[in-house]
Amino acid sequence: MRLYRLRSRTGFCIYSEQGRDCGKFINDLRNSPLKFFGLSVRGERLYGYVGSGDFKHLCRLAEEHKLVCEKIDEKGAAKSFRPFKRRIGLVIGFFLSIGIVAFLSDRVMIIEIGGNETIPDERIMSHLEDTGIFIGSRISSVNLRRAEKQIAAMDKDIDWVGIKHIGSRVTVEINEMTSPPEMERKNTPCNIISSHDAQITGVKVYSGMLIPMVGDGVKKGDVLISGVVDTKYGRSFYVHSIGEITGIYTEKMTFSEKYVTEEKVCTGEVCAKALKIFGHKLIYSPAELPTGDYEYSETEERVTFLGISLPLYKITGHYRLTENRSITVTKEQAEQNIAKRAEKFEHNFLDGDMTVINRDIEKKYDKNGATFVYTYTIEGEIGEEKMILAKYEEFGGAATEEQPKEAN
Amino acid sequence: MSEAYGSQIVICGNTYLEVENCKRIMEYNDIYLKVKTFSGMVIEIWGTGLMLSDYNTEGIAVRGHISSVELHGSE
Repeated sequence: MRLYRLRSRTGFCIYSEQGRDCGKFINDLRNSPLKFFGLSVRGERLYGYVGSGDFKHLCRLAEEHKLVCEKIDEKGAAKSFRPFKRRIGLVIGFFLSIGIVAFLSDRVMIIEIGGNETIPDERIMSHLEDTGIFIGSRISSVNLRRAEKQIAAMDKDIDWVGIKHIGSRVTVEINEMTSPPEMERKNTPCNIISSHDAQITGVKVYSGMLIPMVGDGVKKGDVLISGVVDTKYGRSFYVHSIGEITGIYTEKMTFSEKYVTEEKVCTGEVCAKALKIFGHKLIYSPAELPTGDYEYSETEERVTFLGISLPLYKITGHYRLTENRSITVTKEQAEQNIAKRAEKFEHNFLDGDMTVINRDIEKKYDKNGATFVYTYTIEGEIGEEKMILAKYEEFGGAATEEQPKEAN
Repeated sequence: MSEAYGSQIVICGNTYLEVENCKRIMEYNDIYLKVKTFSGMVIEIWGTGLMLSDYNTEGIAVRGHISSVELHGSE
């Protein structure tokens, strides 16, 4: 764009009533401080543009040359805006927009959180809110350095926090605390004992001394692999027993189902819509919120305008109204319900390394409901570690305290 | 540009021409422009719809349909 088009300029027409030549006038015009544009000669007349403020000087110069100067046109930004000078609305809108921009430029619009792997964003947002940083808060009123220290002190899982703002965007960088790895006490002397009354079907001993043999029966708590090993010279020492002992054992599980139960039943759903602006929630529907028992869930959606995210959230609250109702089931339905629960139990707890060899069901019925006792015969791992608590002896041989001794 | 370097003439296509160190306009109308430079050279510009603009006190810009530029005299 040529800048002179924006400049306020006045079109002029200069001519001589006596038929004088304009050549001398043009050269004097060039030598004067006046600037002219688009000078053209059409017939005996000279047309062109000068700055609006220079028109008076141009007329004076034309008079000196005994020429007539007429204003014929006016162009430029000032001319373009002149029709709008009485439009109060535009002026108010202009200043209002400046005010809104000034107001919003000092407000937090977007909060970006980065660097967190295990700590959820919601927890960090909660900490930020505690320190006065939330959508809509004044940036200038928050001491970011102080907020960083506060958040780091608030949460023991946070090692370091960095907060900076670029315009109305606040960026939070989190460095999480690295916890020391859990120590595996592989050197602690221990026995492997039986966790069930069982018949042993398989043994694998990697460390320690095997006590029972395959086919032997053991009761719960019996030592299967001992961590106290004797040498042929009569010396004893402690080891960390490692091994896999499998056995066949039984496990009982009781499931019961009443014929008449009370359950929460959904009777309807009410949606409440609200707008959240700068942390304030404005509910605009419905007029009355439901009372009584309900389950509540909320969805939050950011409002966008022409692809730009605004600091405005549309919140939809879902009230799921519930009521306690008695539900009566038949004997067959109760049996089906118990069967389903048993199936879930087997899937969750008896699946994996263990094998269910047999399943006996003892069914009991009374006037209130049905009770099924499931007796599972299982083949699986029965060993569990138990630390050896040995007397720590001084050189003199006097026992002082009970504590686990490190294995050699 | 100072007088010692003479006049620089810039022609952009056939619609724009700039002359630096222009001393005076000797003749001007919509088809013909004759200017004299400080070094004494005379530049004659022929065309149609010639329009003159002043971009500084020592130069002129000519817009319009320029058909020929003639240089007379010497620097």
